[in-house]
Amino acid sequence: MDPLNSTVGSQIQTLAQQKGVKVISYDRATFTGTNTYYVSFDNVQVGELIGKGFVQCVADWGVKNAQVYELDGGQNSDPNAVSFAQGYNDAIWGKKVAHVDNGTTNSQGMKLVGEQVATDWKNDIGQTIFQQAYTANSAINATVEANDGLGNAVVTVLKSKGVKAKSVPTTGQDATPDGMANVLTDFQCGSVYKAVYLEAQAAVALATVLRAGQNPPSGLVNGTTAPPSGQSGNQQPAVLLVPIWVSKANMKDTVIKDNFVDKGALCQKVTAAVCSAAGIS
Amino acid sequence: MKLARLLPAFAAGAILTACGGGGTTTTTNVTVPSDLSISSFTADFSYMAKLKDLTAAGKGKVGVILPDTTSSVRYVQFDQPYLPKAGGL
Repeated sequence: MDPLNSTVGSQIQTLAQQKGVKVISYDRATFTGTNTYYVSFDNVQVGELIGKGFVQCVADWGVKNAQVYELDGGQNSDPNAVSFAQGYNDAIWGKKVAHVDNGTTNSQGMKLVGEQVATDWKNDIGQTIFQQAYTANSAINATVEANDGLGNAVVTVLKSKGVKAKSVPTTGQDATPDGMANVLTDFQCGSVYKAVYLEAQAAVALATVLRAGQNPPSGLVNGTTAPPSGQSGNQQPAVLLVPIWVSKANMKDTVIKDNFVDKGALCQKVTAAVCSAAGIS
Repeated sequence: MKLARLLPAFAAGAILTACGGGGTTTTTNVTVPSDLSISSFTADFSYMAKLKDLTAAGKGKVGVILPDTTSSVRYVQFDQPYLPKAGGL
């Protein structure tokens, strides 16, 4: 099952357990029950890729004295959003936590000037949050977003303010068409690509092993997932796949090669010349 | 939340309930491929053929529940076709 949220996941898991049915929680973790297997990408690693990509981008785009604003995902309802933030906060600030205090600095001369959660991952909420933050503090010159939808919300605000390409870094994940367009046009540093075909095969392989009454090998069930601090539930065994940071440099060999994003539609949006410059034709 | 599909011959055998298709498991002498890991999987799904013996050794049906079709297109565009493909359907 890929539950809409943790509440729905728990309801399904409870019913499954009553019926003696094994459960694999696919892409979104469920923390109720015992051996409620989780198949997904390593969400902390997803966040680390966002953070490392951001740090590299700040350097590549020549952003000086980065005044950083972080727009977090839906930590109010999605445990994955907490893991993402732990990952990018670790990579940027050296603090593996969901929230970092304003005023925090790092050795690259960056300073965190604001951080807020876009509740329930809602892009319109995220756009309003950043609009207000940027209006209140126009010194913001580098941003971190937890997914491409929020990244696009920030890019929309920046463009409305006349901000030019390759000047204010944004980030994301999911390798969406809008995200890839923003990457190719230098409004977004990159995105984390999670190849669904890997996730689907891992889930089916795990189910096949369980169905045959066997124990899944440690090379497949390679980790655990636990509820975020303050949330009840049990640690669960997990298959944690490896995500990829996608930038202009490797877009052709990842999301385009896998047909994850439609090349024709993407190049029509950003122009053929922009695609060609990234080796996409 | 919508039931995407009940897969009677899915290569796996656990999962779901909401459709009443309770899966059963069985213990046999079949072995899990020693190289099965998170690195086994590729874009051409070729590794999944190595799980045929395990598939044959198991019993029961597999159901898949995916989220709604509007909040993210990935479930329709990718997960829904890839899951049965991984199961050899």
